[in-house]
Amino acid sequence: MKKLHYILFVVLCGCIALSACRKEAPELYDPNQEGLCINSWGKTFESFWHGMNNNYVFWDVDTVDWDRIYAVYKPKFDAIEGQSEAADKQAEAYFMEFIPYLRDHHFNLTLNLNGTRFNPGDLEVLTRDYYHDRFSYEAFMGTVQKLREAGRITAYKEAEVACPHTAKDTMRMISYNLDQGIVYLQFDGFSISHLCQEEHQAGDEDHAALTEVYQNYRNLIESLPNLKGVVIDVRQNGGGYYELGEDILGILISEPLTFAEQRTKNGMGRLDFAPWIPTTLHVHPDNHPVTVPIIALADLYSVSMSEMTSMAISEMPNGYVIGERTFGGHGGVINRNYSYVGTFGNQVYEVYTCSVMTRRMDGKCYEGIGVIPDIECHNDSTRFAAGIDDQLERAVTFIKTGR
Amino acid sequence: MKKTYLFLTLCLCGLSSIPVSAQWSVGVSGGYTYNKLTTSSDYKYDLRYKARGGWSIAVPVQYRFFDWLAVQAELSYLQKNYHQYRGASHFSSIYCNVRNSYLQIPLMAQFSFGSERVRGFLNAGGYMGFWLRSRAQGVGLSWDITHEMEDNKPYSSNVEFDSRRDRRVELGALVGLGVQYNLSPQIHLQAEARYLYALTDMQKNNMLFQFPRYNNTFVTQIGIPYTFLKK
Repeated sequence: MKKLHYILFVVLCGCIALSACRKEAPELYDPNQEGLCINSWGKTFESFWHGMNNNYVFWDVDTVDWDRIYAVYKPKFDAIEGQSEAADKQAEAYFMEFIPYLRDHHFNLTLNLNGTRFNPGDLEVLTRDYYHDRFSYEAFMGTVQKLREAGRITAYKEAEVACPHTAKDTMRMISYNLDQGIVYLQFDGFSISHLCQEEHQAGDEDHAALTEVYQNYRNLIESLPNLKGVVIDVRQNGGGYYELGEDILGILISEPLTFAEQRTKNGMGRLDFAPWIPTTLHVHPDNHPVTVPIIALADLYSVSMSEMTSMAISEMPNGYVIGERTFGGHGGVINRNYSYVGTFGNQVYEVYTCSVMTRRMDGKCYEGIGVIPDIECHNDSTRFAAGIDDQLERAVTFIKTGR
Repeated sequence: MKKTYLFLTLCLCGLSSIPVSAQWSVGVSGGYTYNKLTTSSDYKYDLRYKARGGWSIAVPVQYRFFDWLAVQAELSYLQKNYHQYRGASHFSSIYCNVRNSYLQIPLMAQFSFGSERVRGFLNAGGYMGFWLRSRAQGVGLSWDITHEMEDNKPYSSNVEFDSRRDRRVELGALVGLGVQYNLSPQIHLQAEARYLYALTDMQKNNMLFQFPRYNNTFVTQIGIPYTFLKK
């Protein structure tokens, strides 16, 4: 019995000793709630770095060495003394040394102190060899006017409505029948369904006009006896709400279409990811499937939902993307409390970043790269200003010739 | 897969290198596992982890030196599962059941006591495990192009191992308490409760301020060892 007691004692001591072999978890502050404690650039960097460390969803594919950033820049930010314009400039210069290399093209760091913004996506597109400034809406309408004068457009509808719930002031939408058989739809934001619903509630004439443009698109698809193709123009469209997919694309398909997969994070680790979940385009209850070519016209300024739309069209058997490689902001942004990842901030700074990472059906993530068009075509600014839309003409040629 | 074969070969070589003599016993055992993860979700206050059940099966091989002391090794397959969920009621539909399968070699000393018919025993030792497979089933956050983005979608899929993140070899300590009923000099019936305490993080060191993740596994099992008596 004495032997047994001795053995039990040894085992017990062993258990106690072994419990000390485990690593302790770090204790962190929630970056969303520590604004009041931040009173130096060193603490600002520390808070931002930790927020990114635990909330950023692209560490799987991002090439920035975040541990190295901490090792190199923590001492530098700590060394910035006091609060002065020179100190602020120094801190901003440090941020500019590494933020441009982040892959998330939705990402935006705003310093509340002076409103300075750091946006890797805006900086990255400047380096592309086909970079160009945005074309003005007036120039775009000039190309439409030229087509109308040439008698190539019939059943024309357009609307411009106030868009108070989004970052944009207005939303514009155009639909028409081009060259007697090509249904064309253009819009510069994704708030259509939302606004259409408002129209029903408010009876607002502007919103009724928007519904009319959308209905014109649907009517043309359903009624044109010689339908040759459909063009969805998402050029210079910055994205927005998500309800649009079914209304615009869901009417064109007969079966649900999985066109991408998405995942979010599910833990504090950089590489703690939840499983990939298919992203599916559903069939509209009043669908009118078509077999003619469906073209997404996209450009450098097609972002987010515009790119998702291009991806969905690209996965259709009769779908093609024509234009330029898009911006590359493919992730989704949702409420931070819902996902526990993505956007975070406090009184000192705000970080706008994705909560969801997207990969296409080839298993690759094109965040920061963009949707690569099936047919690459660029608009020349001089010709565009003269009313010639080469990208649209390329789409028309493809629809008419299959080449 | 290569690593699995190498691991198995090493284990079998290790077992076969012990000279066969009397008082060897070999058997089969199986039971229920209940695994709890030791980790932290820190300020993600309602992200929680809960223990989850699984099962185990093992082939124990034992060499008895004295009536009170033996050395036992096993080749076992067991699950170390856990449940992850959101505690806040409005997110309660989001959860993930993770099923982790391990191939494991425990090596332990067995101290036994009691009568000839019924004997109690205490196992103490360590183990080396290899993380074979991980599967996740649950309801997750999804972005649906045609509906509300904040939709929840069910999923069930194998988790791809990431060589940057996953430490697939697990080392740990174990202690067990059991009782053996000798049906005959050769055939015995055992029941045991065992606790496996992982000493290695499930993740490699892949980031600063990393939150470690350790398995704590309770196993309750029954087994039937067969003793090869000395002639």
